[in-house]
Amino acid sequence: MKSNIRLEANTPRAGWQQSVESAGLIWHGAGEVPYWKEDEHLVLTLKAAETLEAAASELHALCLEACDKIVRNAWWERLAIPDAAVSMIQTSWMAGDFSLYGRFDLAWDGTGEPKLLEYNADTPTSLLEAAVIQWQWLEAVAPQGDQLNSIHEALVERWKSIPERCVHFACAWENLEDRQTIAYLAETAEQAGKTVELMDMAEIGFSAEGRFTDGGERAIEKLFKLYPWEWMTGEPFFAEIGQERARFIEPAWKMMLSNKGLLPILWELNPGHPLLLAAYRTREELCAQGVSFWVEKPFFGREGAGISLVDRGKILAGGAAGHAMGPMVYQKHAPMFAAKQQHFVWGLWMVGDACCGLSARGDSAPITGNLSRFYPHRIGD
Amino acid sequence: MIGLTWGGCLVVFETFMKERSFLTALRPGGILRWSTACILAGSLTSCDRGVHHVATEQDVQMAETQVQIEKLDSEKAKLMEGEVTNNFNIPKVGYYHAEAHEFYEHPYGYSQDGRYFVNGAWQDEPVAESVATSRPSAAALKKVEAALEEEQTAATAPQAGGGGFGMGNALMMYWLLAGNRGMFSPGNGFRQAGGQVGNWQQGVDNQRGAVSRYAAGNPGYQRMVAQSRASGTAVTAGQSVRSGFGNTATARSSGGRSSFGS
Repeated sequence: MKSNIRLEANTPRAGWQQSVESAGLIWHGAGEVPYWKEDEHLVLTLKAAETLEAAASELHALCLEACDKIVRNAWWERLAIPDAAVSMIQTSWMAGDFSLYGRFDLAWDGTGEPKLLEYNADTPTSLLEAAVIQWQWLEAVAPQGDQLNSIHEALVERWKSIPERCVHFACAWENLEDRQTIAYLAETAEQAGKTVELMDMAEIGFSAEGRFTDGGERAIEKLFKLYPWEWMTGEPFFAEIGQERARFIEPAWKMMLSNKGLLPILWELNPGHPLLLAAYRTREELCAQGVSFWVEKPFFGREGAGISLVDRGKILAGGAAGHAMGPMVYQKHAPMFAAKQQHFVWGLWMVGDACCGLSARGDSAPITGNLSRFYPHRIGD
Repeated sequence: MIGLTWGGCLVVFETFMKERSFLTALRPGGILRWSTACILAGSLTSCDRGVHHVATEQDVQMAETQVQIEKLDSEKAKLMEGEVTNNFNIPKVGYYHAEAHEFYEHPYGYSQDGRYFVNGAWQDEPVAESVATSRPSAAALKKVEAALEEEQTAATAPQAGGGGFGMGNALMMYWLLAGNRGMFSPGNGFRQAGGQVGNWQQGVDNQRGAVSRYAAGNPGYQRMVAQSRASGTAVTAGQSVRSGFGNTATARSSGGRSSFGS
């Protein structure tokens, strides 16, 4: 039987480095190790792409239901959310503060149902590669092909739904990829008719009038911050957000989703759901369900940091060490699509409440890290 | 088929198979907009920058006074024991280097041309982060007294009864209160200063009251000072307080794709 997913080799485009750089992907590899994978890509049948798309849409709905439960039941401790942030999250959720985008990471080997690994709902990166670079690759390599990819148009349309005319974008400026991401997002906002300003998080000011300001002392109307809320909660200006809450994108309520403490809550609310993996706050609870192969993840880990793959109590693989990343979650292991000694995680891009795109990261290690390769994809037979 | 305006041009998109609605490049010619190129190169762009002054000159003056009072309060206990903290500055005398028990022209650890000024000499190695308080030497106190006498000669009236106060005067006040001068025999400067202790104390209290009244009537000022204290940045006329976000990123490092995203 023909597989509905396969890894195919292709001839690299002549001058592809210049091509991706001119489109904004300045960092595409480290020495001999590529980040952008130019000579191989993934081929999915339309049915496979639709399976992933449908899974993301359903998971998004489950996540929103979980947010409602968290707020109603005050499950803040279960998410390790500090007391200082609770009222802001509650208000943000009840007011329906504007959300732009997010990315589900799913495991799926092409059989059965995809499984949720995590929801990067607050600060998803690799957006430029997913929205632009892989599309330009498709146009050059398989112009008659297609992708699950309308991220760009969806972002432009999403920006049109907010009334503010000027949007500020901020990130930790020293990080090139973060600059790439906000630069691209700013372009989508410009295409939606907004004026934009980009800045370092540390450049944000707070005025005597109680407004956040940019470097030119202009009051910020809307601020897209590619900077984790859980870090902001520990910083001096957090206490000043108050009535300025709704100016922040992603909104404060995303703290409930960009937190692996969500995984046990989802499982508790939807036990046995085919798109979910058994997940608990303790190893003992998971093992009591007969699970012997699992993944240990810190609540606030990023890019695979702090993750361990455990089989019958023996650690098979570990992600990069990192700073303190909160309590741990224990999640049943799910098989990933693997080909040519590479393991693949599927990224499903949500813009607003709609799934608009697919991306794939591959690594020889079973844990996706910040150097895992980005593989373009196409929909084919 | 749909049309969108982009850069003054109408770009036509056509519905295509199932997912994508584009036939054109996302960026014309596949090239970055100039503004994005600037951003990736590290510079900033774009919104019209309005001129909106925030902190006033009086805010700045009050904030500086408040910082001095708070510093004085925090040092008071040590000073009354005869101890002076490292890098304590007395105008016209210098910066106290506690290990050397002496005042010098430059702060402890002052860096210039890759060298560091420590205990009166330049060295190649960075300095220790923490230096214990110490008692000034007799030579150091002579410098203080000389500056004090100069100030007393120049002034027609004691400073402290009215306007501002200097940290030198404050140091003197607590030094005199403590009566703890070791082997140093005070001269005219210190003796005359002894008669002014009450005035100095009154001066500090007057300043403290003025700042409190100003703060009580200016919630914005209170907020700025609070944020200034939290972020470690000074209140500056015409500027918001900054650096209240981004501290966590500064404390972390990343490799590879160099991102704090996920």
